[in-house]
Amino acid sequence: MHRIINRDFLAGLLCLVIAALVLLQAYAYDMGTLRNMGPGYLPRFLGISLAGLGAITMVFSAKTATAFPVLNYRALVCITVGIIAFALLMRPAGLFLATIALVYICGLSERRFRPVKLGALALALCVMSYLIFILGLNMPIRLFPWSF
Amino acid sequence: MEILDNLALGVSVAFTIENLMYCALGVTIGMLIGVIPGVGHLAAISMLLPLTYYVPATTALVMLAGIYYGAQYGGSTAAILLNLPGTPSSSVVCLDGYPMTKQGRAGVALFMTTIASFVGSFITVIVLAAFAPPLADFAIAFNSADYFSMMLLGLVAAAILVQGNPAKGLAAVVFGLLLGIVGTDVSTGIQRYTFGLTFLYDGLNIVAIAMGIFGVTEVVANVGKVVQVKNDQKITFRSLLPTRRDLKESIFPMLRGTGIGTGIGVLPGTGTSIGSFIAYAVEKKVSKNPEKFGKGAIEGITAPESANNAAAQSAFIPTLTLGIPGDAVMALMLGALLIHGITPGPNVISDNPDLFWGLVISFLIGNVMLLILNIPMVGLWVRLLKIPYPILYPSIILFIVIGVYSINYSDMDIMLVALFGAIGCLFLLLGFEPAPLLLGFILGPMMEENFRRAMLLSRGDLMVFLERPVSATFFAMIAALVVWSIYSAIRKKRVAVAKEF
Repeated sequence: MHRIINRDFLAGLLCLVIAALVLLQAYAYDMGTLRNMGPGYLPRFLGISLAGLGAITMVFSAKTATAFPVLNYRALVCITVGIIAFALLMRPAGLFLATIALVYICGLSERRFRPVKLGALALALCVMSYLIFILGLNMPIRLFPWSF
Repeated sequence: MEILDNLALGVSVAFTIENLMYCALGVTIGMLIGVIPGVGHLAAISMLLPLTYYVPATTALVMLAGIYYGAQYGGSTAAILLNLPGTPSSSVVCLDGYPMTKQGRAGVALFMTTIASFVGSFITVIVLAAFAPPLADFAIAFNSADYFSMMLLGLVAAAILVQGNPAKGLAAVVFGLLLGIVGTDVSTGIQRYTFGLTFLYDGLNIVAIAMGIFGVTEVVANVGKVVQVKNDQKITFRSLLPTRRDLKESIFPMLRGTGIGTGIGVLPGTGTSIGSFIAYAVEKKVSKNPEKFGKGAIEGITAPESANNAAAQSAFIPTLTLGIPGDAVMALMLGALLIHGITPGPNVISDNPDLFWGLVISFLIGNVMLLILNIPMVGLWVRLLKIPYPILYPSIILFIVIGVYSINYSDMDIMLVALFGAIGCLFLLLGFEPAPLLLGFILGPMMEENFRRAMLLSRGDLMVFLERPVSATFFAMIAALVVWSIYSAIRKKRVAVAKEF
């Protein structure tokens, strides 16, 4: 059983799942005819194609599959959370705090946490982005929570 | 003597102080990010995108293009010295470049790759100047059926050439096409797959997708992997000089590489990596002693370097003549054109000759600048490699998010970057290529529109695609590609042209 569930098998499965979700929603749109295509024509066609491709990938997966690559999950989580934190902080709190949050959270992807080094980096980046984007390009970005 | 007038126009545009400055800025930044492993040119272009709102279209394109081809020059430096590709397309240079470093010939390798890059770029710029205007004239006669089949060929070529597994490559294209559906349907005004979220009404932001799926994924894949290497090797000016034999052995590989790169670069969706991989494979095949490849063969670095630079330049041919971007970078260039009210398509060259010819001349200037930046200043670039990655990657992420934010001042775009970063990692894990997805996303809406129009005009008759000679030719090429990929999948002799991202 374990040998069946390989990289390409899961890839094909992903195609099938997404195809199902796409088709489910596609029936809400009018299909039209080939001569006068409705908004639902392409989604239906693509959903069915994706399901077909997924099935082909799964069927041949035992022959084609390669080993999973090593992925740094810690970095993935830290960087994703860091970007989300930046997105949430940018508007209410301004560039300064958002940058500090981003740099510290991204910095957690390293095994060793170096608060002083990261702080210095965050400050330097704040100054740099202030100079480039706010002073240089006049972009309407809030810098501190109390700015404009 | 129309060509002389055109070139004179180009010179007058390219040699203004502003354009020269932005050209220098572009190539320097391109070189910088090309040298440093784990920083892609997409991130740099995104960072500088806000700048393009403030300058004329030509200037914006001059700079963005400079980043693109500048990065192709820089990419080989880390590949040769550290065995780490600075850009994905230079990974093939590692194969013979790093052995040359171990033999104490790093200087020669750096010098020869610069020359190879220059040769590849320069020849291709001339090809661009010679063939783009007639191609655009030819393309004016294209109707929607021709456009559709041409874009379909691009997608199929991207899916089949980029990935070892054609079914997965096509699936990646379909993912991209599906993402392209999100938003308001142009013909009927109906919201598709927006789920009532207002920020999706205009569709997904291409920059956010590209930054997430390439930029963020690249950083995640590199954290903890890029180790700082103590690089004690001194690159003196004298060590750069190649022997007469090195030069002699490089001339034909460079020319072959240029030819391959130019041909591959014109195909939409192929990017620069495939050109360099194919050039390497061809050199190995035509060589009288293929066993020296992988042990420091000079042809193994010069041919791929010429190829990826040629591809970077010839990618402008479909972008400027047909309005079809070959990859994410070209899509951003078209975006810059649109910001300035220029509609991409076959009319760009005839309506804006100053833009096209100014760009052509600026390519030549930029390549000369890169030659100057490279050869006397090689020591400086080598020192750049000592910047530790833990300092670099938070900076890259920050510039990515600010760059994306600056386009619409929308925090939802930043969220999309995070989402597509995660999707990019899933793709990496399951072995899907991100490039076909992005191409599908870019071409999808254009293809749907052209297909609809063709069907309206032909009253729903699919034969229209085979009745027009141009469209039928494209379909014949698609059929050949599909048959070839099935045949080679069965024979199992297929060599993967591009390695995994």
